[in-house]
Amino acid sequence: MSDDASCDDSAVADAALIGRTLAGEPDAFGELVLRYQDRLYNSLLRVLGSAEDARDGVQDAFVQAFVKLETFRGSSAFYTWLYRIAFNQAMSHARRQRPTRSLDADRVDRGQDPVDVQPTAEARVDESERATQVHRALAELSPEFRQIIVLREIDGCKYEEIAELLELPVGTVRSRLFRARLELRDRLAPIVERNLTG
Amino acid sequence: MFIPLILADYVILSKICAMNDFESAKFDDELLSAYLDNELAPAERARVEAHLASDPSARQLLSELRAVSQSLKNLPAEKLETDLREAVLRRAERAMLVRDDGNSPHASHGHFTRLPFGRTKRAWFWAGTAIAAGLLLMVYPQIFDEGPRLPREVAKRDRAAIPEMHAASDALEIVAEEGLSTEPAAPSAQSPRAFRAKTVVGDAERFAGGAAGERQSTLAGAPAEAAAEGPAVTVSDGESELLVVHLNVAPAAFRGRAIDHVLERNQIEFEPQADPSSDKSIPTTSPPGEPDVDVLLLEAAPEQIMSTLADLDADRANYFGIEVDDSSTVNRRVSASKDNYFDFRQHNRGLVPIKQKLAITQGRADLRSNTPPQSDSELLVRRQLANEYQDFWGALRTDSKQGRAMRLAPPSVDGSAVDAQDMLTKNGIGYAAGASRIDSLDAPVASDDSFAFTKNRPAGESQPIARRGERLQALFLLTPGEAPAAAEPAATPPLPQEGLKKASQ
Repeated sequence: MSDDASCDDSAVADAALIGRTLAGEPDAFGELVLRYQDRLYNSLLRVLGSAEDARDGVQDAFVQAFVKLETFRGSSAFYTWLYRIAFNQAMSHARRQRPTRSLDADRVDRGQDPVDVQPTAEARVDESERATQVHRALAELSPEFRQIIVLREIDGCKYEEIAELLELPVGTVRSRLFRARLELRDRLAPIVERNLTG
Repeated sequence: MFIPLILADYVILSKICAMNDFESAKFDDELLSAYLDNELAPAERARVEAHLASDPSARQLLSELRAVSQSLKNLPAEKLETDLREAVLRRAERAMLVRDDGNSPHASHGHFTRLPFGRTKRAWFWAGTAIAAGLLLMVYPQIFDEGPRLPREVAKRDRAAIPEMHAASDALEIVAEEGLSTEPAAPSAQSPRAFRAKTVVGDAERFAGGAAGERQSTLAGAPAEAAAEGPAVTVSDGESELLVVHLNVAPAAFRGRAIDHVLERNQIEFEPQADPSSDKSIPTTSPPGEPDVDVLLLEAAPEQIMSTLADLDADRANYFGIEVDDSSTVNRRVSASKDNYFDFRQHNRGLVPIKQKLAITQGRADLRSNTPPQSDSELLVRRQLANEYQDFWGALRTDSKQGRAMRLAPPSVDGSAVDAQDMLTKNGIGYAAGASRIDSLDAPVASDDSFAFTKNRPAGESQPIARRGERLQALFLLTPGEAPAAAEPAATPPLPQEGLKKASQ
């Protein structure tokens, strides 16, 4: 669950770090990495479904951002821009990786589910199982749906921010999010049902 | 088949709703999702709430959407256990290493033409240009924002055009790769990755023996410093700097454009310039009185420019002060100004208004496209300079083994000539007559592969200006001045027509 509700972050501080990076201080870029790596990781995790892929994705995104830093115009927040890089990479990654949807679920099953890294105490079995199921359902969504769900629910982006990020009209964001939620609901319902029937 | 009651109810209810009022049910449903996200305008919101009050199926759907949303929000936030900074920076610098448009002839050979050095070339170029040209209005052509950087393009094209340079480049690439393997990745701002290179100063033969021999002139008058081992020379990432050279010139030499001879002696030729009077859109605006700044754009092999500088340095009667602005100096100045980031944005656009006191720290306006010129004459100057710059930097000359030079007519704004000293000072470029001669402040050093200035810095901090085989862009700013009071007697500085070059052999 992201700490900040919005996509947007301290633009001024980011700008200073960017300026210093462009001026020849790579360490300033390291500060940006530190600042956003967790948030980006969390999002990518939900999108890609695997801790390893997400970690690579975060790195890839930062590396690409570094290489292209001078092209960043500052018209959007740095994190938004970074996000877009990450998601573009993740989407093409997802497309390459996904001949059928079940593969994603398999990857989740194979223990790359991030929930596994958490200690599953007795009291938290239900919660972690539920999380696994949600995660699996997420993984089975189409990339477009998964992307928008993650942006909204995990990253707390407003519709306008999502629209900017995905380069969609706000109306499309709204309807797509709705349909994504419906599909998730449909996927989660049978799981609940299976649990009830045993 | 056992179907959960709630689900069954929903299915039935939703079908009823669908049958009863297909259109509005569909429409309402999406609104529920937006309502959940608090993304509705007040009027819409009110409508939805009214609908919810009257329609249990809508309430049902809303609660389901909320449940879905909540279950996602409840997913535990994952944190990376590791700190990615090191890995990112290492990979990033390596990415810079191999990054190539694919147009370079080196790309196909898979050579590493660069070593990681940081992230700065473009920013330096622009920052240096902007500061140095605080005297000028410059509007860079659009392509700088979209395409590859011009100087780099020029450099690459020149490499393609000059096959014999590859030999030298190959040699240096071997060195570069060795350097890469011996120095573990530890990027930091203070000590960019460096490798030891034997630096040789004043070795005329080495210069002359480099590639493209026919273009070489012996490096005359180079400071006779001991050819020591080291200092460690950091190697640039393959893109030449913009060298900014300030020269304080004896008035007679200034008026007589004596520097032109020095340049020509070093095989740097002046571009034939379009006759401004042929452009009807630019009425001739010749500044009244004496111009007090002479601006030259140069583009040549580093050896030529170094040689030129050496010649100028040796001519102490005519050139009182020579100060070279390398990128770190420029960086410091730019960094010292407030609002760094937006400075770089501005610098990226290459536009520094001439009249502003703080040429570096402008507002946040997008100066490139939206800021109107302050006056008609300013507009004219902008356009004139834009054309000139575009012509010079943008020209692709397949036969450009030649060093090239272009003189910019000093602009005048509102009919008055620009006060060069004033502009220099305001841009943080302190400059005093007689200050900072090359040999005392900023000795050029050349190694097997690159050229640098060592500004009395601790080892490891000298920054290369250019590499062999590349082109070096330089901006020479000449201002007329007076000989320093305690100047050594102008012993026998021959006028620049003599063969000074032979002196240092």
